[in-house]
Amino acid sequence: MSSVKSKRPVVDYSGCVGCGECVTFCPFSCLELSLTGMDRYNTRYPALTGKGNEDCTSCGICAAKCPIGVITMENPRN
Amino acid sequence: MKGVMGKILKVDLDTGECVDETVDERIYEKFLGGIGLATWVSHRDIPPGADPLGPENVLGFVPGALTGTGSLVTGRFLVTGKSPLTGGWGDANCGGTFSPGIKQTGYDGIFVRGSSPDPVYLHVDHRGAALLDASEYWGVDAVETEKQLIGKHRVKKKPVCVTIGQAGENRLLISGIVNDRGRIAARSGLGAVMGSKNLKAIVLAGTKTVKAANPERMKEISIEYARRVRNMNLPGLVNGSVFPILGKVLGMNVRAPINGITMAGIFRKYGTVFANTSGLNGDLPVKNWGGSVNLFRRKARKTNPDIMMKRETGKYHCSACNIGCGGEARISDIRDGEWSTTHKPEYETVASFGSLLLNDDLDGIYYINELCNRAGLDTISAGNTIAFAYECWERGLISKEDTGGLELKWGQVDTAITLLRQMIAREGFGAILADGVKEAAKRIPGSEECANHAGGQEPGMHDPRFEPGMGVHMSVDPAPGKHTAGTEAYYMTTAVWDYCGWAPKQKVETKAREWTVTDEGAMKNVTMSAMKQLIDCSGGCLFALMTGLQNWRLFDWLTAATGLEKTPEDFMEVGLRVQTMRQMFNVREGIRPEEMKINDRLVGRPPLADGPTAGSTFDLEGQMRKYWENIGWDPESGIPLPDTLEKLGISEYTGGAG
Repeated sequence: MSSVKSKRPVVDYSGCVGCGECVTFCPFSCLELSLTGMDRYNTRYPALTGKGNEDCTSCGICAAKCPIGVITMENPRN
Repeated sequence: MKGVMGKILKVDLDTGECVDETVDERIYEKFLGGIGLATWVSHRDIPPGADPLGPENVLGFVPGALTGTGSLVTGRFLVTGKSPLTGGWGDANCGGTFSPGIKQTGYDGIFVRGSSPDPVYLHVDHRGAALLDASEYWGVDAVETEKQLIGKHRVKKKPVCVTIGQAGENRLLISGIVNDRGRIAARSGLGAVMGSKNLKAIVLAGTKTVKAANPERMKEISIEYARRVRNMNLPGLVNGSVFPILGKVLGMNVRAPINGITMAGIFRKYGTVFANTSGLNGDLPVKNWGGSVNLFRRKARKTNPDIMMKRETGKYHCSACNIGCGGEARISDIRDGEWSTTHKPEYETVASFGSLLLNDDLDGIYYINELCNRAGLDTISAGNTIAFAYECWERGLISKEDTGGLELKWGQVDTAITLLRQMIAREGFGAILADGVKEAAKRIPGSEECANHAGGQEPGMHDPRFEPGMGVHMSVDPAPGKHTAGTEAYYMTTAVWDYCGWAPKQKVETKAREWTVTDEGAMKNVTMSAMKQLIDCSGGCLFALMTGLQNWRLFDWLTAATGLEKTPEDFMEVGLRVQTMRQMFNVREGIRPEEMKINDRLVGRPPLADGPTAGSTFDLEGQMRKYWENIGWDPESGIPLPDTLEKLGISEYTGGAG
């Protein structure tokens, strides 16, 4: 069974606007605006870094601070 | 009031003390935050007559009341203080990442007074604030300093940083303060104030959150704005070659209540550089404001926005922005690859070092952009100053003996780069130019006519002979010369008249009225000033305002974030309050408001002989008087009237009557 702490932010990129609030408010800088090539403007979208995936405490601040609610905390699929 | 942190950090560089000050609820209700809070602190803590470059000046860093609350395009901050460039109120608005960083340390503002004997930087994290030795960073450029300081202080949370470059260290009166590798609070010469305090940088690593009164409501409004912006894409046929035609159509004679969401499409695709070619309608200043756009029409093909897009490697968004008008650009092939990337130059920079110098070397402009960003130099002021020097050369006011052998011929970008390097280091002929055109004109006999400025600050790149309202705002704003203070071209997309009863409704009309003095025109300008100050209290962005208040629902966000029971008109009164506080700062510093006006050339005295603005001139002084009358300032002197101070509830903060 997955523990609460194993939850990770999952971004719905179809709605994400790349505003970076999740990156700003993550207390451990687990997220970076590093995903590109996903739209016609080449916007940078947030994603967990490799180290961020380890450091993430599943606190959910990123999801709470997303101004448009496109981040959910989910247990990773195996 | 919710949405704010309830206190400010006061740093005294004379004593090394860093203390918290709790801010009274009443102050928040009157001034909200951001620039409003800064006007209150500045009136109180800067002694009248203080030397702008002395220890008594107080340098403020303020995020907005909405910053971090879940609203969109509200992540900007202001740097404030007494301007060494104008001798009066100074502020510089900046995007980037620094604004929410201030709130995350638990403060609604950081205010620094005093002067350190040795270079220091301020570091704030959960353990508190500390002043640390910055001697190893003194002399290092802003981008490199930021990189090193963030590397040094990153534990897990990546800090944010503002810093000055060499221009601020050398106290150039046209220097600014830099964050996020080149986003710069450039105007008002506040980099020199930071340099005068021996304060190299501020590094913040807070992790506090910001709470809105009604987060669900915030989200609801943000979701709708995000949807509208996302759906606003430019049709493929609108490209850089079409902008001259669009610019001509819009510039010719039309004013109409346009839904501003269209602007989002333009900003998303191009950012501000769409104006490189749309400005050929007469908006673009040419040859130190002395020539018409006809002189640059052919050359403008080389600064076409589509050419600039080829260098863009990705979009750049300031904090909390869903528009993303910025870009990151590859420049590794320019000037022997000295630098690999830069922020995409803004229109202001392209015009300052392009049409203003008759230069069409776009690569040179990219290089200059990064050079100025790293040195922390205001590109608007620097471009104006170099254009001034080029005209002095053309007129024979300076020679090779003065310039150390340089020939300052129109169109030469390499000469401009050499001059910039000299200015930054205060060396050679650059030392004459280092403090902007007003000071340079004092140093070059007979050059006054070539010096374009408003009260000491060089004008932004929008021609008042094309947009008289731009000239009025550049002249009546307490921080003069700014192109962001307002104009009717901005006004017509805001839809403010649907929210604020005293804001004149935008009619479908000809632009010709703007050349005449009317109460309606003046009230539009007053409304624009109030809106601008309100968004600077909120951390908002002028470009978001231009997308229209029916889309970017500032008033609804403010209510939901703060929990204040205020109407849009109440919030607009905050804007008027702040504008009047700024003006009162100038008054107490002995500045006569009429001295802040743009120079005659920008008013068309004499008018240009050809081009779209041929023959254009307007009654600037009459329009200024009408603005003063309508905002409640004395129509003859521009000094706020005692009744106005009482009505706005600010007499107690401004030392009494005007």
